Parts: sequence; C-alpha cells; structure tokens
Amino acid sequence: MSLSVPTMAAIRYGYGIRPGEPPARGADDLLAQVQAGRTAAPLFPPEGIESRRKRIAEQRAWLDAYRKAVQNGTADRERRKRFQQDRLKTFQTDAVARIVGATMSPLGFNERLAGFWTNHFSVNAAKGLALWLMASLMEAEAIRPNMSGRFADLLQAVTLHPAMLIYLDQIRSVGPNSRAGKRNDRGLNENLARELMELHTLGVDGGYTQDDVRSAALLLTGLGIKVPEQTTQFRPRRAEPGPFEILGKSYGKRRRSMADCEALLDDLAANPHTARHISRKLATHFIDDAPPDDMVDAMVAAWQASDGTLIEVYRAMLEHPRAWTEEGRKIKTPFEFIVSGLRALDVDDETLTAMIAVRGVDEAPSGPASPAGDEMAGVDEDKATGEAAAVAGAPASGTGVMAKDNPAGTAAEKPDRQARRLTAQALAQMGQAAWRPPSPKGFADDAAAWLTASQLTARIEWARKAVTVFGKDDDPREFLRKVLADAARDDTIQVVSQAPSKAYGMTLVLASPEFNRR
Amino acid sequence: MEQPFTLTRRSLLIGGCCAAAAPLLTPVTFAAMPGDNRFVTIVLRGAMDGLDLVQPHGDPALKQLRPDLALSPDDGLIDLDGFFGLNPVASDLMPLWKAGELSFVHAVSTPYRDARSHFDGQDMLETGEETLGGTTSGWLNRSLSVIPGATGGLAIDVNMSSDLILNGPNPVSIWSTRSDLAIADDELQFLKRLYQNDPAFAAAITEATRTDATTDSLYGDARRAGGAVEVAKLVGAMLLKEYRISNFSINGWDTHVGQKVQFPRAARQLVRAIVTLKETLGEAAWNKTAVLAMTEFGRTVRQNGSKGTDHGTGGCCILAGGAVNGGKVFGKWPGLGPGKLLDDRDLMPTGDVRAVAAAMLYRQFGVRESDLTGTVFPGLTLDRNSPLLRS
Repeated sequence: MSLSVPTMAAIRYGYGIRPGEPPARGADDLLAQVQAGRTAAPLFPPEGIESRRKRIAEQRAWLDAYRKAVQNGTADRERRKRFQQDRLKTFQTDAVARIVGATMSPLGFNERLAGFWTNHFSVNAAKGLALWLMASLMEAEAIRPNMSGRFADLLQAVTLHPAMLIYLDQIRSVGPNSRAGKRNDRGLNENLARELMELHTLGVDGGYTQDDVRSAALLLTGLGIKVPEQTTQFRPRRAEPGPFEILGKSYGKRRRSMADCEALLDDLAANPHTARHISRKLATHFIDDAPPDDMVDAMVAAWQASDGTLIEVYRAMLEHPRAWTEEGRKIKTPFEFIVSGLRALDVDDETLTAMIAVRGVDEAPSGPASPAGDEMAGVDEDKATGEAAAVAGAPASGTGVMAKDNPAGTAAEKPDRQARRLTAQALAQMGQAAWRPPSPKGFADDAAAWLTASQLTARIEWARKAVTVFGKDDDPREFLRKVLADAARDDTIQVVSQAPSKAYGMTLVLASPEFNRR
Repeated sequence: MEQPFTLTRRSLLIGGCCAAAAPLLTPVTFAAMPGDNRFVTIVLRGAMDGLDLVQPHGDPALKQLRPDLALSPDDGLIDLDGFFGLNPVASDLMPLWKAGELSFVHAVSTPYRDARSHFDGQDMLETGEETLGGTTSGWLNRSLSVIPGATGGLAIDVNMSSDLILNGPNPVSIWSTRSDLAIADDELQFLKRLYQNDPAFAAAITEATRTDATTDSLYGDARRAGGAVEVAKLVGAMLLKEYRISNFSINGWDTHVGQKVQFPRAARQLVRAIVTLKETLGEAAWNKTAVLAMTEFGRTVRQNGSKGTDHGTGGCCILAGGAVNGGKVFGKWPGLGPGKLLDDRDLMPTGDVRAVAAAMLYRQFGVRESDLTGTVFPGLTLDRNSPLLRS
C-alpha cells in the first residue's frame, strides 16, 4: 500500500514534514512551490547578492595591493591573516544559512531542486580564494532563479558564472594561436569543455569524441573574468581564431565573440542526449536508482515539446503513476537528513535565524584536511587556503569529530558552536560538506553510497545531539506520528514506544529506516 | 548477518589504546583467516601523474615536453636506476626502495581508452572489466570469493561512503576514522530491533558495532583527525587484527593547473600513508604485506598552458611492502620521442594495471589463474613470465 499523497509529497519531494506547515496535496501544489521559488531570495549570501559581488571585487583589489606590498616588503601579514579568516567565516556563515534556509522554507520541492541542480553543476569552494565567497553566490543568482524555465537559460547562467569559470580552470585557458597565446607560455585547458559535455549536458555516452572536447575547449577560449570585479567577460586576446567543428557543426569565425560560446551552449542544451541524460538523472534522484523507463521517456517527451522548459519536465515526472508509489527506495543524503531532522524537531524560525548571525572566528570552517580533493587547486590565487590533498576516507570537519566529552547542548558550549556542530560541521563530518563536492561530478546520488556503517553511526550521533538540544521533552510516540505520519511502520511504532527514555525514543525516530529513506 | 561479536564494547577498552592489543579479538574470527598475508589497495583519484612521481630523466624528450615540470638528478630528482628518478617529494620512501620494499610499474593503464573521463576511468579501474557498464561490483570484492580459505569479514574499506572497488556480493566492512558509536548496550539493542526488518539498515548497524569495537581500542577517547596518516593508522590497526584486505582513496591528483604546487600536496599524502602503514604494521606484518597504489589513468606527456597536465592514458602504479619484489621500476618503456605517444599526447600504455593487481592477488593469497582471468578480471591474459610474479 502506498503512502498518502501529502506524506509522499513531503518525504519524497520535500525535506520531510515540519509540524504546522500546510501539506502539498499533489503535483500541482509541488509545481506551485517551484513557481513561487523563482523569486524567493535564499538566505545566502546573508548580505544580499549585490553586496556580495561588491565585497568580492573589494577583496580582490585588496589582495592585489597586498601582493604588491609583499614585493616591496611592506606587507601587513597580520591583516592578511585576518583577511583569510574573514573569508572562511563568511563561507561558514553561508554554509549554515544554506541548511537553515532549506529548513525554514515552505517550498520544499523548490529547495530539493536547488539541491539537485547545485550538485549537478558542482563547484568546490576550496578551489581558490575567490570561490569561498562565490560558491553560494552562484547558487543564489545563477541556479535558483532558473530552475523552472528553459534548461538552456540555466546552462548559460551557470556556465558563464565566474565561479564555474574559476572552478573548471577556464580562466586559465588560452588559445595557442590567439594573440595572448603567442606571447606567453599559457595555453589550452580542456577542463570546462570536457565536464560541460560529460557532466552538465550530453552525458558520458552522449555521442561526442575527444576531438569534440578539444574543439569545444578551443571555442571556449576567451571566456574569462574581469579583475578586480571578477565578473564574466569575453577576452578576445585569448580567443583562438575559429572556425571549429563540434558535433558536426561549425562554430566561430576568425574574429571571436561571446556569442560563439553561447551558440555552443544553446546547441548542447537542445541536444537530445542532454534531455535524456538530465531527465534520467532527475528521476534517479527523486524516485529510484533505477527509474522506470517510461517515466524517463515521458520526461524527455515533455522536454522536447516545451523546448526544454524544466517545470514541464518536473510535471511529467510528478504525473507519472510511479511518482506516488513504492516509497523509500532512496536513502536521504546527509544534507537531506540534517534538514529534515531540524524540520521534524520543529526548531523555530527565530532559533534557526540566529544560527546564521555573523560570529567570531574560532576555527576554520572545514579544517586542514579537505574532502575537496579532486579539482583542488591553490593555483596562484593563494596557498593560504592551506588545502592539503584529501584522503577520501576523511570528510572535512571543523575541529574534527563531535567530541564525546562535550556534546552539543551542554552549558559550557557557546550557542554558535552548537549551531555549527549540528549544521555545517555535522554535514562535513557525514561526508557532504556544503559546496565542497569531491569532484565536478558532485556527491554520490545512489542509495548505497549513503547507507554504510559509518554513515549510520554519524546519523545516530547527530540525532542524539539534536534531540538533546531541541526536543528532549517531547513524547516520542507523538513525535513519530507528527513527522512520519502514515510512513511509520508498526514495528517502528512499537520499538519507539518502548524506548528507555523520551530522548532516546526521539533519537530512534530520527534514526529509523523510514526517516532515513525517501 | 550475525557477527561473532560477544564482548561488550566497553570491555574492549581495558586493553588500552595500542593496536597491538590483538589478544582481545575473538579467536573465532582469527582462526577463520587463510593466512597472515595482507593486501592494501590505494585508489589515487583524479589521475596521478606518473611521469611526475617517477620521472624518466634518461629520456631526452621529457625536458622538452615538460620544461617546467621535469627534474634531473642535478636539481633534486633522486636517481633510481640511471633512467628513472623519484620526485624528491617522495624522498621518505627511499629507505623502502633501498630495502627492496618499493617498486613501480610504469606505462600501465586499464583497458579504458579515448574518452578520458575521471568517473568512467575510475569505474574501469575499480570494476576491473574490459568495458564499461557491465557490472557494479568491484574486482577486490569479487576476489574475496576466490581466495582459498577466505570467509566473511576479511576486508575493510576505510571511508564514510563505499568505494566501488570493494563493493559487491561479498561482505565487506566500511569504517571511517571519524566514526564512533558511543552508546550503551541497552540502547544498542533498541537500534537492532529498530532495524531488524530493514536488511540494509540491519547490516549497517551490525557492521558499526563490530567495527567500532575494534577501533575503540585503537583510539580510546582521543580525537580523531582525518588525514592520510590517520587513515593509514586505522588500516594498519585493522590489518593487525582480523582483516587481511583493505582499501582507501587519496584525492587531489587532477593537476590541470600549477602542478608544481598541487602535485606535491597529493604526493605527500601518499608518501605519509605508505610510511605510516609500515610503522603501524611493524616488521613482522609489513613483511607479509603488499600495497598497490593505482590511478584511473595518467596525464598528458606535454605540460599544458597552465603549467599543469590534462587527462592522459598511460600511468604508473606503486608497489610497497615487504612482500613485493622491490627496488625496481617494472614495465616496458614506450619512449616519449616523436611518434611514440598515444594520440600524440599520452604515454603509450604497454601494460595492464589489472595484471599488476592480479599478480598481487596471486602472490599474497594464491588465487588461481583461472579465477584471476575469469571471476576477478574477466578477459585478462596473464603473462606467466612476468617478473611481478617472481619473488
């Protein structure tokens, strides 16, 4: 027997039930959330998009001046240290705001889509100094406003965003026969071109060749950023003279322009391989690691009938019968687990908002061992990010583990530290640090990846601490009824009702299979 | 899956913090082991540049193609055999080299060609298949079925999520240096009941209690860090106990830009991991250990326009441990000069990295040739004269 529609809507398509929030009653309600989400500003960057852009420009100018000062021997190294601390603090605040925003939002499906697309268009904030400030900005201004419209517009906004150009090394790519290429020793970098085709659009079996990747890389030369503003700009001096043949079509003339890159992006967006790759990825994310083929077919058909209008693709998914049956095939990711946990515990908006308040720096946000691994590059941006190559078995975390001797919620702990332990830091410990995916492919999205002994242990640990802080006096049976509704199985109801303490009963609810599946 | 876990978790603490407290283990699990030999795989994710780690300084084309990256013995490269030299970032490995506990196999690759995707390349490396998409189990997991005398609970993946290489039908432990299930026994019973009707969750909690119990004596109440050293310590400690096979990953090798700065960061992690493994295992266990560090593919022979390198084909793998045939750079060198590169860009692969792995499984566990070329690496042909198979 399937779950009721509102329960399924909350668990499969949102971040779970938050007591008191009006339930979505079906596909139309969920799609209305996406429409409303188009103009809903996220809580990050907390100072707003314009102020963040200005800050990025100011910081770059300051850094350039500092580098000159280093050469003259007049550098203020203490200020440099504070400058770096300020960046990390800002990033940390963004990371907490992302969790808090998803927790508070009544537009659950929109928030889940933001999670999907941010993972699809992964950037790692640890790649360079500017990205600490830019990763959240990209999600706020390039991804979120474009999740319901045409995929082509989303693709343009993201690919041409400075964060993506930095992350995938496009800012370093110079056409070998461009004016700049002939004068210095820089040259072509294929990174963006390859991931654009393999990950962002066509998919790895999308019918392109190494020659297409190279030609696309040549076409994309010129795409760069303006300093110190760090906004996207076409730089003809670096652009390889065309034309280039990509997937059987010719792009670019001898004189090159931004329009050449845009034309390629539009064609990649319109390619049938892209429609199928992304439709399947969406269905895999929401429904099942092996989604029904006819659901994917319906989504592809909707894509083609609507010129790639994403809300129509979501509609096709939600209107397929399988969208409302066979629950629990997927395991929540750590982000989904934490957000749905805070929602279930009904942490009030005031407490949540207070977590984002700018605070003093007492630790780096993600410690020296970073999970960023793969595309990590201090490059000439800075070595001060201190990023060692990462061991994949060791997800990043602030001071490390949540210490046994100082659990969240004890009087000795400052509230802001406690907030971090239960949000951004816990997330990093569970292997899914905010805006720090292990590679351009993003975090794993298959159920098996998030159900391991260590993962389950980390979740039980989190549940215990969160319950101590936010819900130890609630009745576990009532809690179970409120947050899992008809998803709660009889055997779980029985185990929870026999728990040795209220707090442990609450912990069992959050640790239960039903709460961790979706 | 019921594990032979009978001691209470806290009672294990009495043994103190050191990994050598092996008597605390249940003799049942110990007796189930096929032997004392151990095998560790390290997946170097992101495409490790073998030409930077083990540089063919005797090949004149190297300096021409990599003006900013190539070193010579005059500027710090540690000569190994007159032709190859070791990047000085790995100088801590030289005692192993001199003791015959370290070797390299150059110009190897998986059968993966042309597309140069990290993700597909890693899938090929970990599934051990000839083509993509055929299987979702890892070769190291499949090898567990064909190791003579092996039973469950032999292998451990040190990770927060699971690596494909050890994924598959055979039971494998997964544990991270950051896991800690500090709960009372009665609470544990409730968790077991909570999960009893969900097999995947039930397996995970059983695994957690078992693995946590063995790491408890290693860490005590000390805070755990997360670097290569911590992971290697955990792996070493597990190999001193009942585990005989372990896997972990080291990231950070995708050096498209500024390789001079980026490569040493990743390489240092690898060097520390190997050195720490040796220290943790101690002489007796190290002498029975083979470590294989491998990557999805190599990188372009020419440096790119950002003083980095792009995705290539032929790469290099590292063998370490007292059980390997050390002090040599193996492999048939294809040369770097004009016309010798694959697609005029990559090191031409002359050997299959799967054959290296197969040789280790043969040496360490006596896996039969028919199993190696059937179950573990379907389609692989083994060269019986390979020096890797000789002691």
